[in-house]
Amino acid sequence: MKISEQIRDYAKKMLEEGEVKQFIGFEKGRLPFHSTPVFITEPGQVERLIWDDYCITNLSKYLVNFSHEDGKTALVVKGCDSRGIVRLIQDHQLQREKLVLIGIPCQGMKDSLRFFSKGDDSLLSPGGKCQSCTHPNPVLYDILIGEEVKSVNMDRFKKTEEIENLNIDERYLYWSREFARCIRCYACRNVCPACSCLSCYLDQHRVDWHGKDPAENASYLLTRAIHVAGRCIECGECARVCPTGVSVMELNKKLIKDINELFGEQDAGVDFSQTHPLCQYHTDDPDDFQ
Amino acid sequence: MLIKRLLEFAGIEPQRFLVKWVSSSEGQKFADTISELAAAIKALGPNRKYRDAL
Amino acid sequence: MKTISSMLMTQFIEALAKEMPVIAPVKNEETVSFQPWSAGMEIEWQKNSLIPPKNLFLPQVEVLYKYQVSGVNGEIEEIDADDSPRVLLGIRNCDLHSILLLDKIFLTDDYIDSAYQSRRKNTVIIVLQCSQPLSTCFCTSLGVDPRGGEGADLVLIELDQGVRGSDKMMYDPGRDFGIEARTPKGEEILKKHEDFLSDLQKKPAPLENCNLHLDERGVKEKLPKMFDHSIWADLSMRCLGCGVCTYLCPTCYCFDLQGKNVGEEGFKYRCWDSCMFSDYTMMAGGHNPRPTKRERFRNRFLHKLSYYRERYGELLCTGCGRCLAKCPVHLDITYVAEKIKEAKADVREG
Repeated sequence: MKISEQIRDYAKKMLEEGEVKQFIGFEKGRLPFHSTPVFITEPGQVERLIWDDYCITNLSKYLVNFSHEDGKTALVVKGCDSRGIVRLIQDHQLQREKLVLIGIPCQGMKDSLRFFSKGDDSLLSPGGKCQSCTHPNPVLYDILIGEEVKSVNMDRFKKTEEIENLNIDERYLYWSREFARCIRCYACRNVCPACSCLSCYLDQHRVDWHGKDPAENASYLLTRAIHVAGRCIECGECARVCPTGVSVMELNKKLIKDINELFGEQDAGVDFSQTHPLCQYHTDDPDDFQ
Repeated sequence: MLIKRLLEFAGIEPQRFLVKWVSSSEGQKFADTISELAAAIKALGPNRKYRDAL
Repeated sequence: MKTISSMLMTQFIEALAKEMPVIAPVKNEETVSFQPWSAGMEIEWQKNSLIPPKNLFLPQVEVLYKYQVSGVNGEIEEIDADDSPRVLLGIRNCDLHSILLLDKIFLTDDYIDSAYQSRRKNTVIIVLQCSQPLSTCFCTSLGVDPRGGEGADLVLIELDQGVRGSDKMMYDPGRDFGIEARTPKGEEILKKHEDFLSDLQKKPAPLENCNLHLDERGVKEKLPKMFDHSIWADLSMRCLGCGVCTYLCPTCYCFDLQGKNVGEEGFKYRCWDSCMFSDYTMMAGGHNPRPTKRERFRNRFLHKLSYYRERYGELLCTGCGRCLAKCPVHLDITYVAEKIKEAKADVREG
């Protein structure tokens, strides 16, 4: 049976039996290469649910909107969605018992947002964020649809190292071109499952706090990266949703690479027993700053 | 350490950022630390890279 | 119609640039935006810019005045907008239409925005006609003629080359263009540079239709009664609350006033703002009349589809398709209009 049909069957059953209040999945959007999040509450609406090559959005962030409501929510999870959920549970933003997770191993999704840049949807291959995915299989689920897939073993820090190997002026030149494209739409912040503050420091309105002008782009993007350090689950949504293609994810990768070097290899949002690397102290922690 | 490395990564002089453990009984150490930092920053000039560069 | 060959095009632009700055669509990585052109820069002829040209008239950030404080005294220095003449080259008819819509905001109804006005007045506009829409384009639904030129001084016309392809956008670099003046200002420019022009007779490229439409029949009558409709909660659930749609929209014009202090000096500036942000309607006392995504989302689409029309008789949309292409969750205005039409009347929020 096709994955879409299995999803619909589960959704129908869960909604009819009242096990869950709503079911979050994907439906077809306006154009053939648009698949977009959908929130189903009526069993009669489950036909809208689909599963195809464009279900790239990380759905985990949506759950924060419902965490204070009664009743359970079911949603379909790829590897990246499930890691987002683990991380949000660890941050006490979600309660596991209020979730029903339908896991789907993921082969990598196509990125419809690159369409405007490239102009031709036949050019869309499983791209961008999925190419450096380390966990294509859900790490947390109640029901699994389909067979587990092998992760692509590629060096996810290749570009990070390329930037590191530039000299300081070249690095500044690279980043000033990147930062210059930022339009401060905050899509990278809003989509991020590690950015779970209800009120962001950027939404404060005070003279000399943090302006909306592009002169503060570097400050914004670097601060954002530090705020999610140690909690970034590498779903790459920040870079994907960026309308101007700023390599936001490279800042996160740099932090992940450094955390791994300084405090030992770890992957955020994979294992409940693993605590936040920056929220613990060991006597043998490096202290180069002294 | 992460911030210092991130600043360096973004092409901003890491000398602008300092974390140091100074106890409240170490007045002289605190004064020396700040003087050194201030001298280092003065030598670098105003920081336009982090803000106001564009 | 005069024509200008692709070989002479660069020279024509160089000659223009000697007289006044030429602002043209250029690339930074994959992002095309309007930037001051200088010799050697490659102009993006093929596809429309990602960043709309509104920032040339309403800059993303603009210093309004500077101040200096000494003791109890202060000095204020007003900053006038740069009103030196310039050429805006290569904008499309959808974006040109957006500027006409912005004109109504900033130049009519008893209020003239002087900074906007001076920039507007001193810009020569050379529009580039489209003949092949992208799959995200729906300008013809909004009364925009992709081959028009209303509001332009000069019009560049794509010529029939006999080459077509679906969804390949419009112009190959290296093609010839037809060129026509629409205003005395435009005629003056053509006359001055007639050495670059020839009388070669060619037909304009045939116009292909948009596949996408914004069908707003019935929306107008329905919307005023739908303020409390449950559709807003349903539709906004998917919205991330980011500012992609508003910042990439050529017709969104909301701005904020912010200040910056350095020691005893400082300045006040105007910058783009987005009605999708939580602090947009935040009052000084801490009350927010649009506390959730639902109210903010509703406001954006009511503004586009209803409020602007009530005042100015048109929709605040040009069909450029940027929100369709770049919304992270594909919540675009054609989809919203369709859902409004499908919605049953009088389903009120419980």
